[in-house]
Amino acid sequence: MTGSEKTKRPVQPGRWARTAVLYVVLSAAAIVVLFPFAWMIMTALKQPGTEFDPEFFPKQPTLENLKRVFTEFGFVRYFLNSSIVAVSSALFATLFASLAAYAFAFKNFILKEKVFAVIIASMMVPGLMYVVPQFAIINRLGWMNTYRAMIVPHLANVFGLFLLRQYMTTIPKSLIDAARIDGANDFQVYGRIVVPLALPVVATLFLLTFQFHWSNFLWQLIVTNKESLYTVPVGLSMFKQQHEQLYALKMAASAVSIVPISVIFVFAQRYFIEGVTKGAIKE
Amino acid sequence: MKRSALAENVSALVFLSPFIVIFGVFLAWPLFYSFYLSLNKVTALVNVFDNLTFVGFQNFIALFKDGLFGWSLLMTLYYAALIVPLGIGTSLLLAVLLNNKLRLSRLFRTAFFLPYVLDLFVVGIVWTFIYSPHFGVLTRIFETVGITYFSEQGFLGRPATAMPAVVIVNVLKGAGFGMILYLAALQNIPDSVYEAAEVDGASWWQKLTRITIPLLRPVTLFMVIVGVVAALNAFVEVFAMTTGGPSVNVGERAYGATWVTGYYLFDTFYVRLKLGYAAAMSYILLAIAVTVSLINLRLLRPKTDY
Amino acid sequence: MRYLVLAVCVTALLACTCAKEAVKEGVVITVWETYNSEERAVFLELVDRFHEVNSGITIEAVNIPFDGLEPKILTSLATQTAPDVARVDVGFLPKIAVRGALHPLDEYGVESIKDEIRPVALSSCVLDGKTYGMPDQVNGLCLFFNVDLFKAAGLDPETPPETWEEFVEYAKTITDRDKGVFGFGMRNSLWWSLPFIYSFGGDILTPDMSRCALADEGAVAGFQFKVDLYAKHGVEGGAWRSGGIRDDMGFQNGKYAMIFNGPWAVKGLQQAGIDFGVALIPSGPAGHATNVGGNNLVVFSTSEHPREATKFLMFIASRESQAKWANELGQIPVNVLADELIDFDSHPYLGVFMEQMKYAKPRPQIGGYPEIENDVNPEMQAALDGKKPVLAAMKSACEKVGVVLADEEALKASFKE
Repeated sequence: MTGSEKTKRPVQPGRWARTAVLYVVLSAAAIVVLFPFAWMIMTALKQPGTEFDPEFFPKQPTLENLKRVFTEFGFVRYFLNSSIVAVSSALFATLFASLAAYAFAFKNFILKEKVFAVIIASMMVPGLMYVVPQFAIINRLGWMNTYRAMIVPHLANVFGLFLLRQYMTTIPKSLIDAARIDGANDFQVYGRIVVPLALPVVATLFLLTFQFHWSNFLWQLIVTNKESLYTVPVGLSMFKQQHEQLYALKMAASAVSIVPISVIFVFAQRYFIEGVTKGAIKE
Repeated sequence: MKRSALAENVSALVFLSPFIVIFGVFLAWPLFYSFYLSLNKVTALVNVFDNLTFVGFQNFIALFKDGLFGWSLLMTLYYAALIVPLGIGTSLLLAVLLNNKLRLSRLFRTAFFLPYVLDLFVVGIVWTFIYSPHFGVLTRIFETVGITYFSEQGFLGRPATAMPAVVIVNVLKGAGFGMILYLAALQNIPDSVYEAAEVDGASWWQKLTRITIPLLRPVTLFMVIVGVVAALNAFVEVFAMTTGGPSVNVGERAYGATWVTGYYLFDTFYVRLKLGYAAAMSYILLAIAVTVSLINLRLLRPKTDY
Repeated sequence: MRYLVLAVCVTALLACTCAKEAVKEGVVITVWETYNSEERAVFLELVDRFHEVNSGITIEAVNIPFDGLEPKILTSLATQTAPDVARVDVGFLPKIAVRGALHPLDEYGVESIKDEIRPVALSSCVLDGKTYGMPDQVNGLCLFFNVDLFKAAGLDPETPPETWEEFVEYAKTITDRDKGVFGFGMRNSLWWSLPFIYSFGGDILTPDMSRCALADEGAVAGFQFKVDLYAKHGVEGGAWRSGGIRDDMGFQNGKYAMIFNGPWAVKGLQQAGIDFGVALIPSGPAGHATNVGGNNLVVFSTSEHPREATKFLMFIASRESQAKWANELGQIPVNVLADELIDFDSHPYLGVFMEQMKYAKPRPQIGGYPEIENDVNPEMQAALDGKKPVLAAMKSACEKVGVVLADEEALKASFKE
């Protein structure tokens, strides 16, 4: 109904009301969703031992926890390690997935459907099943206590392949055919048409893989026996001891740990959400 | 023609090779190995690979007789039936709302995405407080409007509400992820399609159900499959909030109302150390996931290429 | 794009620099430990002392997050890359020992120190007559009470309840539902229920460990009492529920006036400024009782230097090391000879903890204990929730325990072959 009204008379009040309702709904949802986030920050500012006082706001806010995280707990090193692992993993995993997705979306080759089915099926086996055999391979390769051990096993990102292929199939075939007629080879089609068109999703995948590695605790712990190679998630788990949880410290470290990905998101979101594609199609 | 078919295969291989090599070594081989494990009984911990006792399909037969496993599958299906539609619905709703030209849309996007990068364990702990009996914020809110249903047991302590409560936490945390995927896909829908519909006098709702949702099908298919897989693997959310409880009486036995298969799998693997049994369990999960995915492919396959 | 290339190069460079390892002379013993930062500091001092008297042996300690230790050990055992020594929970020791993952230490001279070790702690290292480790830490639950809440209810904090009857009276006096204050907060799990079961004369298994004893008279009476605290007397705040406010958090916030807790909780409560007292867990028909928890140091069967590793374990359990440990950290020494060296003035609660340990009884030493916990907990929860009579819940729990015991027999038989 609103649609037809809108077309009849471009009345401002109706639109205003709708926008207002939208803002109210979105703000309410944002408050609910962000509550744990706010709690984390508030707990990070509390004195150790007073984490579970009923007050939401700390009585005597302190930055001591934050300071201790970096001075006493070696988080500087953990951040460096995690950055290396997460950036290179995300980079190569996204590259490999996009190349393979291109083949599955636009190429014809033998056993294509079957290979794809097997690859997708591997995603459906619980991750727990992979840990021991993967570790055995890492050990056989002599990669214990290296960044490689944390990075390489996860470079075949099935989830990413699936995601990218799904998007690539929505790219109009006519665009590809047109380029082919102009004499473009596969790499040119991939690099100049498909990737730019799929950029929002490629960038999203980069972000998600980065996030995955930034929080992958168990694997990164299993392949390292050296504290100098510990990553952020391993460091975070240090705050949970056998009998006590150092909540204030843990929350302080958690809050800092999500800064990199949040910054990436805030600054990169225009590239992967807002109309890059529309410009690319005109080309 | 033959030569070009060969060239096509070769060039495809070039694109595939980095992925396939890693996949073959680090995924396919462990996959094969864990299937082999499911046909064995593991007793020794040291050098597991050389100390296996072949038992054929005994692990699978035992699983079919295991009441707790059957129960866990039921709970998993229940969990999936709640979280997949709710999660997708919320993500889609947020994406469509934020696809409007709002001045603050960037701010809202960030707000909805942020919880996704938080540790699920941290989120779980916070919600445990919100849900708790006597003292929880939510319990108190219900009390002020005269509902004392939750006062004594909270939300996570009641079998009827425990699972939905866990689902809501996860939906709120994960909606930002689906929202991004949908937002990215919405960019691929040309404005001209909507403009043509507007000329025909289509309402907001008609545009959503006849244009937007059908064109988003590939993403929805992806979300459904990924959602089902995540539900079959669900562990952290249960570990952080309910550790499988609260108890429900099933015949003579007491089972946990949130005892999902992912949790049972972890228990079997790390607590009971029955690695072969755990592997068999994983393969039953795989069979279920494949079945569900095939059904989805049939239902959600785009009717026309666009 | 330029930054991207740069990032890749930096990454590759860093990835290469970390591969080199220093070569050390003599025997190197790797130890995976889960100490907190204060404990670790003391532990490293002890390691230095050990190095001074044992020049040929180098101890390399790696601090592992507690949550990741067991998965990491299991994965490394599977590929024979386990360390020489690890510090593991007392419940984890039998679980891996029955599966052949630990080195029995009897042939390396542990006999000489056995008499000095606190018996409850030592028994957690012994399985089928063999010693698979040395205790590192031993503790049991005591009764913690909130002094302010006692005073507010007109009770004397100098005379905490001594029997279960008194305990119920105290708890009833304190409980004020309108204010959200409860006399007691408790957990559901089997281990946390043991003080009730033991003090009513019950046990998990029969003494010969052949049969589940949870449905026998003593255990049922003990557990019935626990259920009554919640259901009949109404003095418990629902801490045991999934999603309830846990006992320790509720205690810290003045919601629960009494809880069970162990020595590890003292520091946190002092930091939070809570005025609290510690007493023996009240006695029941079978007298005082508590459970046993803690950690043991073990040597893996894959270790190439079990003799040197055992030497280190015995050093940590020695009188001098344990006296230092107890005095600096306020923990119960595992070596009884260290008792006389303790400065009880600076650790006011330590005396009570040690007194309580006299009434401690270890859980049955079987590999399937963690399984028993997970199988029994839902049944106990159903009973607490009033969905099942206690006896029915315990009977059904015992059926599950029977399966675990049968599995254990089969497992042991497979290793004898």
